[in-house]
Amino acid sequence: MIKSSLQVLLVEDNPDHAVLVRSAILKSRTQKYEVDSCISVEEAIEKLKTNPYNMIISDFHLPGKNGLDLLDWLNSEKIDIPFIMLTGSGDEKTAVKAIQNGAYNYLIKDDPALFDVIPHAVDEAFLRYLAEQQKERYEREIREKNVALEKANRELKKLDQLKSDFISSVSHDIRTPLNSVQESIALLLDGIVDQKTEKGTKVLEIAQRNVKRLTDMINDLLDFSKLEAGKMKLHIGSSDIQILVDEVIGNLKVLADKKSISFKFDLIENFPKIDCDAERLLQVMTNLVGNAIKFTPDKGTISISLEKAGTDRIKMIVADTGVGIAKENLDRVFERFEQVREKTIKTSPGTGLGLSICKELVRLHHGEIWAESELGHGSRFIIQMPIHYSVREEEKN
Amino acid sequence: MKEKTILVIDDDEEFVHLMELRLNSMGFKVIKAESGDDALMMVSEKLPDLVILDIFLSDMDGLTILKRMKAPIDIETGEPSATKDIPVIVITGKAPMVENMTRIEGAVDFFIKPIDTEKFVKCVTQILKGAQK
Repeated sequence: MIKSSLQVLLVEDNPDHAVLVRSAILKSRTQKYEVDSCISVEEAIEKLKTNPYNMIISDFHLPGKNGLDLLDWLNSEKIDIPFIMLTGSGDEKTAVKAIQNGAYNYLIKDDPALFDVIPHAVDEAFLRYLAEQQKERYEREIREKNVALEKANRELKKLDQLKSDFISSVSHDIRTPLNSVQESIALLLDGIVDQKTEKGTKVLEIAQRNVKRLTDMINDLLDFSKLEAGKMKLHIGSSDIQILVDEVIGNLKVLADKKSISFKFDLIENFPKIDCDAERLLQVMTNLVGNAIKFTPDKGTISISLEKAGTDRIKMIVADTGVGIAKENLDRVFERFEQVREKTIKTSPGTGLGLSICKELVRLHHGEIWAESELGHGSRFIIQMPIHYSVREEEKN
Repeated sequence: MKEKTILVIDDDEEFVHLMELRLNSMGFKVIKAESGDDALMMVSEKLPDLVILDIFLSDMDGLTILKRMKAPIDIETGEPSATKDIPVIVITGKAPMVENMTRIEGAVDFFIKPIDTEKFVKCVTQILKGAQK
């Protein structure tokens, strides 16, 4: 039972009877009660408006309004507390009416055993009330859980659909570079171009570029499925991130030069080494800078900067002078299967997985990645990650 | 006899280049369009003998180009179409269902990338050399 005592409101106009009922209630051995009495329905309503009671015991015959009126009032106010009606013998009609209107029980006033019955009736009414409350709570919880489950199910179905669309889209996207590789080889084999001529070299270069494109796409898919399955393992070591940035710039210089895009990167003295999987971080940075090149028009600038964030984290920012990303799409660019970048600039199609892979790889480093942008004013991709990596509890196994 | 001209409509520059080498070697002149707008203009201006159309372009659905070409009346001028009898071969990297749609719209043949070169060469030859007789 409840530890603290429960507040009972007794509505009884006969003061002698009220004293007897009260002492009977207090005889309960299972539950502590405190009894407050009043002598009319009007008074009871005033009390109920200001005090929270746990139970009402009311005589039916009262001066002015009767016990059923009080029950009606409770119903109209939607106050749900156990109500026990006291009626005279031969007044079963009233008792039935009371039960129909939501009373928990009725007691016959002139029953010789009344004062023995009261403590049990009070305890029972309250127990039933508690049980009903709990049942309602469970039912509500079940309803809520059902709604949540249905929602989750809908989302899963949507994701599943996205995934199928994605797989079919990628398997078709792969055909384009594959086609170029095949046709390049066919031109050479059929003797239409001679390998030793400039034309032949160009054809071979096309084949090579498209093999690279295919390789990138397949690597993306493999990384993605590894991440999805939670099987991506980092090889953490202490790395000079500035050397990594240098390497990224070196690798992508040819691509940037083609569009006369310049890089801006200022070395910082004594920048801390950080714990990371250098190869994976290089992959993330390559992806970000590669994207920046893709979405920056000719003669643009890509700035890469590093800074410390507080005492134990660092920030890396890749900013471009490209078309930018609409605000509503800023988070979506990191979603799986989404390709939301503005289509105004022609780009060679990829899998569209690059940024979602970046996000997961950064997350595995216990860092965050996000984008800031304004349409027409370039984009900034920011990575923030801890300088020291420590394995988290949930990652130990 | 006049050299036959083929218009290749595809936004994949490299593939267009490879296609040009192939078709040149077969003795055809190649003109190229990278966008849907360009393509429609070139079709009505140059009246090529054959059009090779990639169905997925970045600016316009290739199917729209096909429909416009094959419509009996030129929607710009209201005159009877001069392009409706130009044969069109559709190529695509995507969706096999596109095949049926393009055939309904009047494409003469359909190829999914990677293209079967031998079949493709046969198809082009049949269309252009067969028409010479």
